[in-house]
Parts: sequence; C-alpha cells; structure tokens
Amino acid sequence: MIKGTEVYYVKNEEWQKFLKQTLTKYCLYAPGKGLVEPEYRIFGPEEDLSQIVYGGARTTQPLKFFIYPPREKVSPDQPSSDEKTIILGVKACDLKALSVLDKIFLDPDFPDPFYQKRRENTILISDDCTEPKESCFCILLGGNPFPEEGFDLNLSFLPARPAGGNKGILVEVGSKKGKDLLEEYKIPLLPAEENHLKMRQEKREKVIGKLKKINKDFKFPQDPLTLTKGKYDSPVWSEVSEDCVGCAACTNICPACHCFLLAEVLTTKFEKERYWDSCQYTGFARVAAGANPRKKLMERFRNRFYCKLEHKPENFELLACTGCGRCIEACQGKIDIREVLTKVARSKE
Amino acid sequence: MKNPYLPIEAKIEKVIAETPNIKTFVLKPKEEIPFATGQFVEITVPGIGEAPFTPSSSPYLKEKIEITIMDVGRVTNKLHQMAAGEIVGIRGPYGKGYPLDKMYGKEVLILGGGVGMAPLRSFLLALLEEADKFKRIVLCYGAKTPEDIVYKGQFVEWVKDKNLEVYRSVDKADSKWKETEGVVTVLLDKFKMNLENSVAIVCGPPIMMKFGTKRVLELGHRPENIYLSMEKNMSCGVGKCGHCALGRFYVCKDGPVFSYEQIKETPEIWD
Ligand SMILES: Cc1cc2nc3c(=O)[nH]c(=O)nc-3n(C[C@H](O)[C@H](O)[C@H](O)COP(=O)(O)OP(=O)(O)OC[C@H]3O[C@@H](n4cnc5c(N)ncnc54)[C@H](O)[C@@H]3O)c2cc1C
Ligand code: SF4
Ligand code: SF4
Ligand code: FES
Repeated sequence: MIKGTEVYYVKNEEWQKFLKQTLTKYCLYAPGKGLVEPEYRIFGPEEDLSQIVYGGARTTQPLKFFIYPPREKVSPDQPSSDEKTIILGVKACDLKALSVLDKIFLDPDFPDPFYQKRRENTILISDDCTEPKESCFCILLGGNPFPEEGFDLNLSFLPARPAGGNKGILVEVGSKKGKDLLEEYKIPLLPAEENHLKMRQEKREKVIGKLKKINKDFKFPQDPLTLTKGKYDSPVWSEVSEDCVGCAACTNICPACHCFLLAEVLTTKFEKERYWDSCQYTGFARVAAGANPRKKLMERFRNRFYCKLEHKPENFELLACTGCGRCIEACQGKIDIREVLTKVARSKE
Repeated sequence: MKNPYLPIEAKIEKVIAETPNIKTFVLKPKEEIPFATGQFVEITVPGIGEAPFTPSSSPYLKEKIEITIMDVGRVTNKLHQMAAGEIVGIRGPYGKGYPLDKMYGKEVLILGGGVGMAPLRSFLLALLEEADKFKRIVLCYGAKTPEDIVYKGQFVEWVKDKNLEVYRSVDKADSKWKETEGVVTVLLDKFKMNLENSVAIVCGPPIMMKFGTKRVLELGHRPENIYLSMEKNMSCGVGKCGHCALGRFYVCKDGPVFSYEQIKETPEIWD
C-alpha cells in the first residue's frame, strides 16, 4: 500500500452523491446511529445515508470482523463470493491492526485465499478520529488518531467556513484502489488549499490534546520493546493478572489478534472451519498426553503481552497492540492494559 | 489460488504394528507429496480431526509416504482403528527439515527415544542414501522396554550396515535383552566423537529431549550443531493460527527442526 500523498477538497454534497452512486455496485458498511454508540451496519441503496456517523472514535466491533469473520468454512470450499464491499469510517488504530493480520494471512508462503479475496474486494475509507473514548491510547504506542497509511481513501471533515456555510471534506488518496473509485464515479475533486490542510492539522492536534488528557495517568516507554525485555520472570505478571478470569474477551475483541482453530466438521468430506481461538484458553497450547507449556492463567495472560509487544515487532516490525482500548471495555475484571503496561514499566526484573 | 487448509486424499495401503501402541501407516496420496526429511504433514481423519506427523519414510521414496503414529488421544486413537483400504486426508509438507547440506563431511550423532525415532528414521534413510558424504553416522536409540522398540526388523539390517554404528538401550530390560539397560543418554558414554566436526540430532519425548540435549551439551557438542525436532500444539500448520508459538517462532513455519542455538534463550522450550 502506498502512503497517501494526494489530497483533494470535496464538497460535502458531492460526497453524499458519490456515496449514493457507489451503492449500485458496492455493499456499504458504515457506523450508523446506534442504541448507545455508532456501530457498523449495512447501508443498502434505499437507506438514508445521513444516518452515517462520520468522525467520532472507533466502533466496538473491530475491523477484522469483515475480512476475517469469527467462523468460516475453509475446506473443501474455495472462496466464492465476489461481493465488492466498502467499509467506511475505519479509524487509524484498526488500519494498523489490519497490517498485522495482513502479515499473517497474506504471508507469501501460504496466503489464506479467503482472507485474500475479501481483502481484495474491500475498499477501506477511513476517517480522522474526532472524539476519542476514555479507553483510547493510540498516542502512547506511537500511533496517531488519524490514518497515515493502510487506507484507500481517508476523510477529514473541515469546519464550515463561514459558519453555517458549506461543509467540505479533505479526501486523501491512499491507494490506486481509492483513486480508481473516485474516478469511476467522477466525483468533482478540487485541489486542497493551504488553509484546508492547516484546518485539518489544527483539528488533528486538538484530538491529540484530548488523548493526552485522557491518558495523563499512564506512563510507559514509547518503545514497548524495552518495556517487556528481561521482565519475563518478574513477579509483576502475577500481580497484574490477578483479576483475569481467562474469558478471552480481550483477544476476541482485539483488532490485531489472529489466532484460530482449524476444526473438523463432523462429515466425511474433509470439511473444515476456522474459527477464532484464544491464547487465553487453557487448552490452547496443550499437547498430546496433557503436557501444557502455559498451564497457569498468569502464563497465558503474560503470553498475550509478549506476543503483542515483543514477538510481533521482532517478526514484522509491527506492534500487535494499536491502543484502541477495546480490551479495556471488554474486560470483566476491569483490567486496563494501560495500567498493566505502567506497572510492568515500573517493575524491576 | 491454492487453499492451504484443503487436504488431498490418501489411501492407507498397509498398517504395520510396531509396538503395542505404535503403528506405521503406508499411505498412497492421490498426488505425490515430495518432502525434505524433517518436514511434517497434517493427517486428517474425516469427521474426527487432524494432527501433525513427520513422515518416517525416506524422502527418496516418492509415490508413498510412511507415517509412524503412537496412540495417545482422540485422532491417533481413531487412526489406530483404521485398516488398509481406508482413506485419510493429507496436506503439506510444512516447515523446515534437517539441513543436510550443513552436515556433509561431518560426524553425525542421532539420539532418539520412543516414537521420536519416526522422523529420525526418515533422516537416517536420507543419510544412508549418500552415506559416503558423511564422516561417520552413529545412532543411539532408547525405548521403555524391548517390546516398545520401533522398526525392529530394520534395526537388524542397520546393525549390519558398515556405514552405521548402532547403540540401543531400554529403560527396563527383559531376560532376552543383551544390550544396554538404562536411559538413552547412558549410550553417549560408549563412544567418542570428534566434537570439532560433528552434529547431533535429538528427537523424542519432551523429557528425553531435555535431558538428551543437556547431556549432549555437557559432552561438548556446540549449540549451533545440535538440531532438535520440537513438538508443540498445532492446528493450521501454515503459520497463522498461533497454536505452535515458541517465543517469537512458529514451530510449523520456522521449525519443527531448530538448532539449539536458535531457541536456547526461548522460555517454555521443554514444556
Ligand atoms: C511437527 C510434529 C511432528 C509429529 N510427528 C509425530 C510422529 O511422527 N508420530 C507421532 O506419533 N506423533 C507425532 N507428533 C505428535 C502428534 O501430532 C500428536 O501425538 C497428536 O497430535 C495427538 O493427537 P490426538 O488427537 O490423538 O491426541 P489428543 O491428546 O486427543 O489431542 C491432541 C490435541 O488436541 C488438543 N486437545 C485435547 N483435548 C483437548 C481439550 N479438552 N480442549 C482443548 N484441546 C484439547 C490438544 O491440545 C492437542 O492439540 C508430532 C507432532 C508435531 C508437532
Ligand atoms: S495475543 Fe494471543 S490470541 Fe492474540 S495474536 Fe497473540 S497469541 Fe494470538
Ligand atoms: S490489546 Fe487491547 S488496546 Fe491493544 S489493540 Fe488489542 S484490543 Fe486494542
Ligand atoms: S500450527 Fe498454526 S501457526 Fe503453527
């Protein structure tokens, strides 16, 4: 994926027209006004696109749901669906997480054809975060609340100038796929002006300010690699995992967790399903005759951190935590990953 | 696009009982599955499940593949009930095998225990195919009792083979046993090797791997010249499902054969 360098100014009503047109060919998912918070839903050709919520923060549902569903038949079937999909309103943290999944599922040695097909048939239209949640902490892990790469198109809404006047959007092109979509429907593109970019910058900085405020009590090194190194045997892991019940909500909801079980369906035709699994479950690493390298809950809890903060960076130069904060909201034990990292950072050995 | 999760059919041509709980299955896959010795395959019992195994046959044998399986649980149980003519699924080969090219001109020590002899038989057969390329080949094998020794017929031939030195031990001898009694590592005291120019290959149950590797290190073999076949829980076999993680490695992709040097700092290796 190329890093976005082309930025255009698009009038809000042109954008709405454009989006409506795409619905004849694409299936559109976007955050819609929900019961509590905006959540992804499908927008068909008849639907009112004004129900789409732009900006805000990441949804509860991670992006991986769309590309790597919780349960999927992968044998003997081949990927069949050619459905073209647009996913709108993706946030920076989920794009980062997707790049981790790409490393795993698009590994050139054994690309996963189901993932690959969906990935190819999906256009990602991201937008800038405007209202980070209390659980958001991307900036503590070197991220930003606005997409910098991994999108096909990114949207930044500009305030109406003069007040009450026309709203505009800065559309940044992140890939050929994104560019092609704009051209396919001939959306009028105006050059982005200096002051548009300045407005975008100001808005973005404001959000960073909010994030700093939200996270003022948490402190750990920017480079998490230095955080866990040499702490494997530290008693801190028992302390921080005390309230964990091993339910695996954290890994299920995590946009960067990819682990699954390839399971046999009870027929004679080599039918297999791959469904999400979790390193937090007791049997995850158990081998024949009952031996288990991670028998204790603490060991499984610790594994999650080493996987995300040490092994993925070593293998792919990517952190497998993007600071989206979903696991904080999902945890029954009220474990806050920021607190865990702060405690680990403070611990000696 | 190739689907890595989809097995091909393989017919069980023959089942050989090796020990009371180990059988060798001679499989004829629908298409040939060329493999490098030490790589593994995933065998599916339709409707039951899948498990990883290392072929025990020579990589030079093309149209058939032999798998030696110990009956330990759900899938292996079912396999042990299967007979010639029945169909299983097979996919692979996966992972990295033994780096034979790094062993040419060297003295090769093979240390095996129990069903761990399965990959080692394949390895040994590969060595014997070009025996003149190796300085020396020593095989040390241990089993619980004489009855638990695998490939009993083949050992008779190996003992006669000029290219090979064979030492065997059993934990518990019976009245007919004339060879060593004791754990397999005691065999290592029976001969000397040129440690400047040697490699050691270890495969067996976890406890034997641990003590075997420890002893080989004590004897002076270098960590980079010791190769281990690691057994971890596996599901996909292709580096995606995360089950086989060993530190930063995925055993299915980065292994199953590792040099001790590669993994010595990794926690959990013997568990
Ligand atoms: C690379 C490699 C090569 C191998 N080569 C050989 C070989 O040549 N010969 C040989 O005999 N063996 C070999 N093995 C070992 C062999 O794969 C195992 O013995 C086999 O997987 C056992 O399967 P099972 O279903 O019979 O055993 P089980 O013990 O029934 O099941 C084993 C698997 O199921 C899981 N499991 C069992 N019960 C539960 C539960 N309640 N909840 C969750 N999970 C559960 C375990 O975690 C494990 O993954 C090899 C293993 C590896 C990794
Ligand atoms: S943290 Fe656990 S579930 Fe998530 S990717 Fe790593 S091993 Fe898999
Ligand atoms: S570990 Fe938690 S904060 Fe990090 S990416 Fe996963 S769900 Fe988000
Ligand atoms: S067995 Fe799935 S990653 Fe190794």
